[in-house]
Amino acid sequence: MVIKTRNGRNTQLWYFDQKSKTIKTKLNHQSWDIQSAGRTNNMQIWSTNSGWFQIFVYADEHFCNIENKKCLDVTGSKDVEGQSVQVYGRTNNANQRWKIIYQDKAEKIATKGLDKEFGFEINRPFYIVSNMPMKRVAECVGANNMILRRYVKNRLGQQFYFDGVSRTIRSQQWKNYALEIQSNGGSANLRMTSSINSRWW
Amino acid sequence: MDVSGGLDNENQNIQIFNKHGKVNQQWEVVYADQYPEEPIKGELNTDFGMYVERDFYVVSELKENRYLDLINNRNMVIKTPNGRKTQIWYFHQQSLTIRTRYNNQSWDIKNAGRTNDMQIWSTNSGWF
Repeated sequence: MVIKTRNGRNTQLWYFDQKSKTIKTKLNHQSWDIQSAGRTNNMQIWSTNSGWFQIFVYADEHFCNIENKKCLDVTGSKDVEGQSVQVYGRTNNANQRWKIIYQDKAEKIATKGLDKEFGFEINRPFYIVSNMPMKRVAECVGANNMILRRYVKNRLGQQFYFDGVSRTIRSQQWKNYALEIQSNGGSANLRMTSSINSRWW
Repeated sequence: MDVSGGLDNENQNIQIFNKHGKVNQQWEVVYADQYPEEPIKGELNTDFGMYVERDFYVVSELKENRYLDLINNRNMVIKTPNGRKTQIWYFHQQSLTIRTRYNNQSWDIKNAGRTNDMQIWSTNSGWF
């Protein structure tokens, strides 16, 4: 288990199963499970068996195991994309506090309109136009590097759009590619990647 | 997002660099459905102040009003009007350069802009 930005997938959707008393995923209906029958702190999903290491109670913004009382815990309190989630003794800190948002009460993921936080219109194709004298535009070449080129009408490699789900800038030509700083942000190179993870880079 | 080396050249690499606020880090997001149509032949390019592919002379305002011309079909000089194509120019929209009707090469500052000398050269749309 990890934490991620909302992405609309079934891997982020859960339900309480009355018969097994476990929390299940909508992905494949397996249950929350402390790995190795509760002998570790690692959280996963596993075939439902209703062992104590699969039973959690939600109260006071905490998910606590019914037997060892350990709570669902963002490892190291790191609020980053893909950070692992474990169980840990109760601390009452923010990394153990969770809200349940029922799907029928959740806001719908926007498919158009302005994302005020990021400043882009969602899913609306745009050019990235340089303010240098020639007013060239950014172009994604071969689904990889970003270079400066003269505007060519309707050339999709020069068009981008903001994806409101992953909150990344995508190529209109290669829609499965997002803009990223290479080497997990450790490089000066900008490129398009198909490994979209919504991390800060 | 930064144009590498601040060079406004075709195919110049775009990278990430610390913010310094100069023009090579300034960008505008222009939505595709609002991107202005480029002027076609005979229309005025308002950014560049010339009509697209409409032939013109360049006339000096010195006393004799000589015309811009070419010597050795390469270097720019002023000459008395002579009716040759080396004195006829036009603005080329695709490259955003001024070209000669003689061989359709473009105005060019020699040595990629490192000198003050003007010539005509193969079109590359470098800032020079």
